[in-house]
Amino acid sequence: MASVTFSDVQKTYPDGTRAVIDLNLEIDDGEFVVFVGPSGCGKTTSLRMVAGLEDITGGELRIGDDVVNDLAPQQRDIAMVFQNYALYPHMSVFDNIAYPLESQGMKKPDIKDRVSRTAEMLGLTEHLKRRPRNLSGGQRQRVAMGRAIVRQPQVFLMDEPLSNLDAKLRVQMRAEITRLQEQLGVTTIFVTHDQVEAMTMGDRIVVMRKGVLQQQGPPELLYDRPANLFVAEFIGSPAMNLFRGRLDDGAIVLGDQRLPLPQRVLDERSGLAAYRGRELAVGIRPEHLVASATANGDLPRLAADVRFTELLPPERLVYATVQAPPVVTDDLLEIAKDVDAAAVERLEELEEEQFVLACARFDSSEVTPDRGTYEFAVRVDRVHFFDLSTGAAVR
Amino acid sequence: MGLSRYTRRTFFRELTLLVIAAIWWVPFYFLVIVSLKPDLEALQSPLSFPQEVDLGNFSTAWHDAALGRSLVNSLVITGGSVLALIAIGSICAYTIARRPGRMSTALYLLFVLGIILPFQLGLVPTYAVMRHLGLVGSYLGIILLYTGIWMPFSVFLYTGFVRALPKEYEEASVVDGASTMRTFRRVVFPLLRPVTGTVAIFTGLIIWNDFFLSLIFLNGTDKTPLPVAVYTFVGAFASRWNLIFAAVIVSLAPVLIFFLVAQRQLIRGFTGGIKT
Repeated sequence: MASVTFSDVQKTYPDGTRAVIDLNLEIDDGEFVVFVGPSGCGKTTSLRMVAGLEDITGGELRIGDDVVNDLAPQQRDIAMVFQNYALYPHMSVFDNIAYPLESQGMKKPDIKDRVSRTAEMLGLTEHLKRRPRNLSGGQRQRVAMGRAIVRQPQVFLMDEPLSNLDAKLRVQMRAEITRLQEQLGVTTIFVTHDQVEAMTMGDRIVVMRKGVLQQQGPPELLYDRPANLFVAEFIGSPAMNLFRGRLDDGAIVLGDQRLPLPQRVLDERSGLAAYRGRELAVGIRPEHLVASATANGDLPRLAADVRFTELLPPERLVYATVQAPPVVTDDLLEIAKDVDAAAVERLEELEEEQFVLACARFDSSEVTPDRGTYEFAVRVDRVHFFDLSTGAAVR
Repeated sequence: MGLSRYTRRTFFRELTLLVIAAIWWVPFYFLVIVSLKPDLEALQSPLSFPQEVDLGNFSTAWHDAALGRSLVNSLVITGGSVLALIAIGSICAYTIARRPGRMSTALYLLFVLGIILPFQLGLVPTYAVMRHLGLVGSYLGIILLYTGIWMPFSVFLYTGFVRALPKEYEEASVVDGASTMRTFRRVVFPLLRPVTGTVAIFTGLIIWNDFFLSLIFLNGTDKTPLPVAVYTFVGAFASRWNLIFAAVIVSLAPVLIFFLVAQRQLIRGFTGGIKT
């Protein structure tokens, strides 16, 4: 087991495309780190550079104390689980798992022993003689894991290994991988574009965009204190509600509504002083729009027009339009593009219409109208602010 | 509702196809009946059904043309050439397909050119060089010659297949600690099985049946393969067709047996892609 250190690591392709730009990151021994971001953000490239499958064009990459920039994959003592598993189709499950050990020149009885123990750990014992094509998706995934853990490498690398599984199996395998990693204590880098996976699995999350590290830290930190608009919008499901607002006389102005900020909040966030009278992006997490019936009477109210609700016990998602200009920046368009083309269109439509389709997360027992006017209580102490031009958080 | 799909129309369609298929059997029919006739009858009425079956033609052909020896020669030459075409062709194509750069493209084009250019153009200088090197009339010489002539074809087929092969298998193998050679031997080559089958059958059949090059490079030696041996019975003034046909049947037999035995694997090889 070993730490992994990126120091100003860069990847520039021969055509000039910069896939990873000055990546600085220290991954501790035994840590489970998740790289997350939309397509083309550089997360897989970073992983492949650790694996030795991509050349590093700048900076220094260390595994433990060794600089591995020029080491071949065979010399790095790492194991990787690929997105499509890359199980050797002509070999049995046993041979697939045994392959890394054979490559090391291990003796046959030892190989048999190690493979059997690994298969037992993963519940694959009865499938050892089968070919990968005769296995289910979940079993293939386990074989890929088996091939990675059998040789007890210094680092595990996982490239979106759950993306080919159906939703239920994905949840199950998520837990299984987390359990295995804890049990083995091997430093793990896990790449995904699914922020739910990132939030639930990693000790630490690294958010990337266009080859640049946006923020890194424990899941709660990224959720509660996003460093910029991109992280704020990317982390969390449903996503953070974003409004183009103004700070005016100690209150947030959204459209023609005013949400007074308590003095405590203004004192805590000294950065806001510079934005008095200026426009900025206001972010409110769905759970911070509270049902007015049960909320503290001191909380300011935000009037909205409920369009529809989604019952998802134990919670209810209430979607309502708020008459306030939306935030449409390149960051958000990029995230929307990663979802689908329709999401981009929706965002552009909102910009023209000058309203925001906000989402509130209520308890499912909460009584709310299915349609019509409604006043949300807003936890203004938990509201996020971002600079509109740089996207950076204002605190 | 009856599902009577086998209509009269289907019957006639099948009959037509059977008749067409039978036409393909006509030469084989003549091959067999002439091979069973004594000398005189073979000359007098070659197309009639034999009045008496003479299996002696086979033993005469076997002994006079030393077909046993020629069969061994054919097996050695074809086997050696096909093995070399597979071993060298696959590894060469792997390098061309996986190593980016102009060198690979240039090499690939060179091989394509090798397919286009007729080898007969260089026959005389090739003969001169081979004689100079003492390779005329030897197994090694003819195997080298066939390997060289058919290598472009082998490389061409393998390159196309390797290019379509997902890189992840190789990447997984090197991350698993295998060397490039081991990756090729244990992972890539087994995945190339369908195209290996195609290369083996295609080049194998051509080399097994080749008459021209064997005649030029091996005639008059004890290394002559079956097609040249069969030619023993063709004379300037008279040809003993019954013996020629018997010899042809003997030379066909190994190929037919091979096809019958390996039929299923061959079809699977031709049609099967990579199954994960």
